[in-house]
Formats: sequence, structure tokens, C-alpha cells
Amino acid sequence: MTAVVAQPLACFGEPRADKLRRGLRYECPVSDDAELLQRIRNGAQEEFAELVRRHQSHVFAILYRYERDHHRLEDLAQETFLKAWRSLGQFDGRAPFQHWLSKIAVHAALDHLRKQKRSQREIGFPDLGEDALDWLHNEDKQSDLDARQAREILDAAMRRLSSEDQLVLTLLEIEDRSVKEISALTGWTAVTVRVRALRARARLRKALEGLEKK
Amino acid sequence: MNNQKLDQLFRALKRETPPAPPEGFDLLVTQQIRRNPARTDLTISDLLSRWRPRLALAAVAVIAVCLAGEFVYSTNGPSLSESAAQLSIQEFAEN
Repeated sequence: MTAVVAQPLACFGEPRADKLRRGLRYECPVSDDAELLQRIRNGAQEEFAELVRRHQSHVFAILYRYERDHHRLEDLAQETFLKAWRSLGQFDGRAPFQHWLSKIAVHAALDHLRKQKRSQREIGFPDLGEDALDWLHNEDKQSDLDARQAREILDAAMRRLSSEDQLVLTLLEIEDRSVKEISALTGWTAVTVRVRALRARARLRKALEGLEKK
Repeated sequence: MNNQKLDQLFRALKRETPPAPPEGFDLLVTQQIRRNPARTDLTISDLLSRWRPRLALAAVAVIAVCLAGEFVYSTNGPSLSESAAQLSIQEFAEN
């Protein structure tokens, strides 16, 4: 099965054969985005739909790590494209359009996490399913864990972390992005990314230990 | 919770597949745009940040030219004390 994944900033960063071996289909930036953007800037507003069609899978692939609900995910993706539309004048074309759009998506995700954090009153841990609890209490390192259970556990633990910590862990540990890429996406320095990731990992471990004890 | 278990958790999450965008998502976005088509034009700050590397280089080049000019003038031309002495002699002779 092929899956569309959030693409690394350098599309040529990983050999094509490696990507195929891992069963991933990377959608490389379309070379004629610049031409399309020029037409949109010249007033062809309806051409923006084509730009959305080209990049929607990529934007959904970035955002679904931060929002599981399909309706809210769709809203978030819409917000990302609207932000891109509104600030299209600021896109200078020095980097591919997809990189610029990725930055907007990551910032939209961070804003979303911050809003969630503000509205989150409960400070305790939510109840976990039996399978997830079994895995947490099981000392056997080989015990199997599926993505749904992992998501359940991580969501519960991540609630204890700041929005920035959640973002850096997702980008670094789950999306396998490099420090340089994260730095480009977030606007944080490489040192900030490294330090934040280290501390976030320690905080996550602590939160997971809290879940284990619960 | 050890590092291996934490890595196992992350590995499991990497297997998640993102949902496909819903049919007609592009139309939804363009509808929103039609309702609110306002686009932010470039502000002075945007322009400055876009030109920042070139402006910085230009500023460094101007400073370098000024320093070089000052150096050439100070090595070839009369010194400040010589000029002052010459000026005072002229003044004295005129009076």
C-alpha cells in the first residue's frame, strides 16, 4: 500500500529507491507552480483551485498529526490554504511553493495546539483503553503496539506538554524531519530545536510514567 | 518508560496513514476565497525583509568604500596636525 506522507523540505534528500522500498510515495513539487502562481497574481483567481488540488494531500499529511477529527482537520486545512491565499504577495519564489505552504501549515498546527491547550481545563489523564494500558504496563519490549493504540497513548501524554513541545516531537520523532528542516519550518534556531526536542522528550517520558502509574 | 519503549511508540505512529482530502475540497477553499477575497499586499516590512540580505551587503560595501577612501586619503594626503599648522600660518600671514 502506498501512503502519501509529509514531504521533507529537500525533495531529493532521500534516494528515490529508498522511498519506494519504504512504500512511500513522495509527491515532488510541481515545477510549473511558478507559472500558475504568476497567473493567479495576474488575476486568475479560479486557478488557485488547481494549486489546492496539487498540494492538498501534502497539507493533510502534515496536519493530521495534530488533529484527528476529520471535520476539524478539514477546517484546519482550509485555514492553511486561506492564509496562503491572503499572503500570496509575500511568497518570493526563492523556495518551492510547497516549502512555503508547509511553513504555513506548521504554524496553523501550532496555533491550533495553543488554542486546544487554552481550552483544555482538565489537567488529569484521560482514560485509556485496555490494550493501551496493557502495553504501558508490559515490561516486554517486543510487545506489539498498533498505530491506533500508540496514538491513544501519545495523545493522553501529549496533553501534559506545551504546544511547542508537541510540535517539535511530532516533527522530529514521528515525521523524521531533520533539525535543519524543523528550523526552516518553525523559524526557531537549530540550537533551540535541539534543546527543545531534548527537553520535550524528557517531559514526554515523565508524562508516560505518570500514565503507567495511573 | 525507557528509551526503547518510547521509540517503539514513535515507530508505531509512523505507520499511520493520513486521510485523503475530501472530494471537492479545492472547491470549498475557492468558495471561501470568493466570499472573502481580500489579499494582503506587500507591506514595507515585507519588502525590507525580502531585501534584507542585499541591503546588508550594500551597507557593508558602502562602509568598506568609505574606510578605503579614508585610508588612502590619510596615507597620501597631509595629516590633520600639518593641515592645522598650515592653516594657522596662513591666518597669521594674512593678519
